[in-house]
This record gives sequence, structure tokens and C-alpha cells, in this order.
Amino acid sequence: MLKVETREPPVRFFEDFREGQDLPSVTRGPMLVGHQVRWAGACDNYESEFHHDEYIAKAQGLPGIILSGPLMASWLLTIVKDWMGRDARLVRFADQNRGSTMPRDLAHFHGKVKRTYEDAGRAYIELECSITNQRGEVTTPGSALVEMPRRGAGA
Amino acid sequence: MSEMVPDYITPAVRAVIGAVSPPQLATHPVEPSEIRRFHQAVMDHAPRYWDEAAAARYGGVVAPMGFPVHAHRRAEDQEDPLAAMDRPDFDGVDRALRPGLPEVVVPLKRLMNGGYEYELFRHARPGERIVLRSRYADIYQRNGRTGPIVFVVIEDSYETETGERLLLSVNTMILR
Repeated sequence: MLKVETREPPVRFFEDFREGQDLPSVTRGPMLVGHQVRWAGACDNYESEFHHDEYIAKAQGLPGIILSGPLMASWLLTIVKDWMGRDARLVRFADQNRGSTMPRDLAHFHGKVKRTYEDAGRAYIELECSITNQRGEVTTPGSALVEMPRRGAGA
Repeated sequence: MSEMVPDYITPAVRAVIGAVSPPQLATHPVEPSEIRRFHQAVMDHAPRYWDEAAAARYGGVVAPMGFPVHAHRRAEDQEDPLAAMDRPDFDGVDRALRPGLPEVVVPLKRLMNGGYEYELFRHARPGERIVLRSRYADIYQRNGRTGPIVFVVIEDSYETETGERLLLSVNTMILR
């Protein structure tokens, strides 16, 4: 069996990023009902039947089971954390659940540096981030503000 | 042909805008096992969540940053949410959107999570008991092409028992 790679993301510095820079896209999937079930178990939250019962999902007018929006947001938050490196401090994060992610969909995670700036001696990076599916539809647009370490500033 | 669109923002709904929950203490302190299940579910494999050496710069093992939002578990004696399906009047949507807040009595059938805005302060740690305070910040209706949509904006504050801030969240829930 392949082991999961367990390591902290490398340290990245404010100086490693520039405005307009694309961050390396990441793809996950195909999504499985199992991803959703594992998330429901982790959160001890089983209240929305349409997340695990296709019959009820369709009865409520959905095309089928959909994955939880907060799960997609949490995946996006994880990718942002990995992009920005071990010593970055996430200050703000936002997401919108604009489109559904369903079992067998792919999730492509994209990020772009929107702004780099300093304020009161601290260095910040604003990101635009999003999840798109295999049809190119943006399901989860988001944004983040991250405080970054400075190169040569010491630990 | 135009149809009358019902106004779901009734006096009863308007009356709950601004409602604040009493502090909701998590059922139990943050546990290493639930941190593991959470970081595995979000596929975040950073050793800071289980390895004391990797977590040294945090002063010890921590939970993922978004963890507090999903840390309130059902108490041993709390009603089984799945049992609600047995109630003849239950339409599948629980409209009490947070523990300690009143129902938003809007008879629309689909409840969706519109998204979050987080302000993040620090990681929660094993052994800390998370306290949630929630507030209905706003409830409003928009009438779109697909019909009326009611937005419920909920502010959630997550702190430790000693009042240290972990995370502030603004969550928009959608009824349509």
C-alpha cells in the first residue's frame, strides 16, 4: 500500500511571491461518497440526509448526493495552508458554495496572488483561490489573507 | 405572467434577527482522536497535528485551523437528529441553525450552506474545551429567477473556556 506523505509544507517567505503569480494547481478526486461519509463522521454531523441518501437528495430536487460545502471549503483551506508554507499565519479565509460537487467529480484547486503589502512592520499576501470541476465550472470561489515571514528576519 | 412572491421575512422571522445564543460549551475537550479524524477527512497530513516534535513551534500538538467550526458534538442525552425523520410534521430541514438559537420559521424546503468568512486567531489544542456563541446577524430575502431565496447570516465566535479567541466566522445559510 502507498503511504500518505506526512510532512510539513516547506517554509516560504514573503519575498517568494509576487502580485499576479499563479500558485501550483492541485487536483483531487474523483470524489467519492466515502469522502463525504468520512467528513460527516469527523464532524459528527449527519443532519442533512441529502449528503448521503440519493433518494432523499433527488426528492429535494437535487441531481443526486452532493458533497458538503464546508468539506470543500476545508479542502481549499488546507491547500492554501500548503501553498503559503510552514511558518505562514492564516489571518482570513472566505469561500462561497456557488456550485455543487458530486461523487465522481474532480476538484481542481487554483490560487493567484492578488496583492502583497506591508502594514505596521508585518508582511501580508492576499490570495484569490477557487475550486473548479472537470467542466471548468467554478464551484467554490474563495480568498485568503496570510501573514508571511520575511526572508532573513530570523525564526 | 407574474405571480405574487410570498414575503418570508414575517414579523416572527424579523423578531429573531439579532438573537444571541447562550455560550455553548463543547460536549468534551478537543481529543487527539477527533483531530486525527478531522485532518484525515480534510486530507491535511501535516505532522503538527500528532507529532510533538513537529508541533514544537506551536507549543505542542494542535488541531487544524478550521476545526473549531466543526467541534460541537451531540451530547450523550441530546435528541438524536436522525429521530426527527420519524416526526410526522418534519419536512427534513432543521431550521434552528445553531445550538441555543431559535428556529428561523421559513417554510422553504431546501437548506444550503452558502459559505464562510473566517477570521483566524490560533489553533485549538487537545484538552481545550471550545465555547461557541452565535448570533443571527441578518435575515433577508431575494427573489431570483428560480424563486425566493432567504439568506440567514450567522456570526459565530469560537473561544477557549478562558476566553482566548480561536476563530470568528460569518456563515451564510440559504433557504430556497
